[in-house]
Amino acid sequence: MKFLPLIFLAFIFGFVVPGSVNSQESKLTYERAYQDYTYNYDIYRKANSEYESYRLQYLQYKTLTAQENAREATAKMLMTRDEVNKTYLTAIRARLSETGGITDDKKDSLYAQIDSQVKWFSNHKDKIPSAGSLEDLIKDSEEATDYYQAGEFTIYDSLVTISMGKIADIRGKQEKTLSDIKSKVSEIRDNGDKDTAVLERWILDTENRITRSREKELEALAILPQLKSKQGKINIGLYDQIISKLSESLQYLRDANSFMKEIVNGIKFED
Amino acid sequence: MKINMEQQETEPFISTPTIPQNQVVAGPVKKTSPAVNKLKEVKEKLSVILGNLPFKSSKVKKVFLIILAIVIVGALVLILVPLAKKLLQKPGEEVPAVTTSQLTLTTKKPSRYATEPKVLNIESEVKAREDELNLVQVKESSLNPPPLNWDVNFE
Repeated sequence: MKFLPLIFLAFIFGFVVPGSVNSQESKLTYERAYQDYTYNYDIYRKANSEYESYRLQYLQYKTLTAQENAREATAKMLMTRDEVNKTYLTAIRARLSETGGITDDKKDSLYAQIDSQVKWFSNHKDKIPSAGSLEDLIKDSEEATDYYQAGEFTIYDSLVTISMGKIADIRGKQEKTLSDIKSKVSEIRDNGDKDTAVLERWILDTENRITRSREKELEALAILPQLKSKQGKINIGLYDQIISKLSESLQYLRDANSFMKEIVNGIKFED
Repeated sequence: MKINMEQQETEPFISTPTIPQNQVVAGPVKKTSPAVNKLKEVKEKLSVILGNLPFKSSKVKKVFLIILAIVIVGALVLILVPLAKKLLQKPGEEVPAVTTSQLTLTTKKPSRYATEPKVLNIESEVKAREDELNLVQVKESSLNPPPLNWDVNFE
């Protein structure tokens, strides 16, 4: 009995405190990943401007010193470029994990693609210091360019999935609220102390808006496979079209929400 | 004749010169402002219009002019009075705009469901969705692919 408070404290520190630390860490994941990405992008920008400057010096003087300086600056730039790709993809992964409304299958499929790309850029970065000449570095750069272009679709697929997830998440919650409203209105109709004809018509209008939102989302989804052209390049115009369709989808949800607000007022006040 | 000649010699110094009607007097032209000219033009046009009116007697014309003046003054008053009122009104005295939700609250009587926990819960859910919808950004702009230099060459 004497040790009971001590056991209680041990329980608190053993289970509750680490649990809260873990939950804080998982909450900050995207924020940290994004900070990491922007920090590395700043380093890359400096390295790239150094590369540009030493490249010009080498092209102008063609001395061995200028060549060595250009080699070092290029290697540094390529390594920071790989690091930017790694941290950028990690930030996208973190954003995907924090966004609701995305199916587990879709998440898992994108995680697998992102993880393999992160691994590739990590290995590529480790390989760069061994390049002995400017020609080797040019080859390393071309290798990374080809790999990036081949995997660029994954980035846009993830971005579209995040946007769709945000909308689907809100729509899911709205559908639940609308279901609660429907059951309440049906209860009022059974009580017979209030005319529910108008409220029921408004419910149909709200359902219609939610259906239109889903239709717009499907239209956006239909464009996604065409995003990658036959030459392997991403068509940014089509990406913008997808975002525009999703914005329309979101607008329908805004309408549905204001309708629900009116229905609730209709329930709360006499006819 | 001698007397006449004397008269002719002395006359120009005594009497003021008279200008025949068909002659033009040389000298600086009197300048009139464009506004005065415009006013004159309007006056001439008005007199032409009045002359063309079907009324024969000047009394009817006078009555018509009085009515016209009353109409113009009335129109001016109708325009200027609300304008003056608006200008004189202090900013704090502005009448607040009444929203539809306020109207609903003030004109309708609460039903027996107004305070029911289930209804209040639905209302808070709708409010939460409204806040969420106001904040959500469809495009994840901060995660646009970074612009990177992919063209490394020494040519």
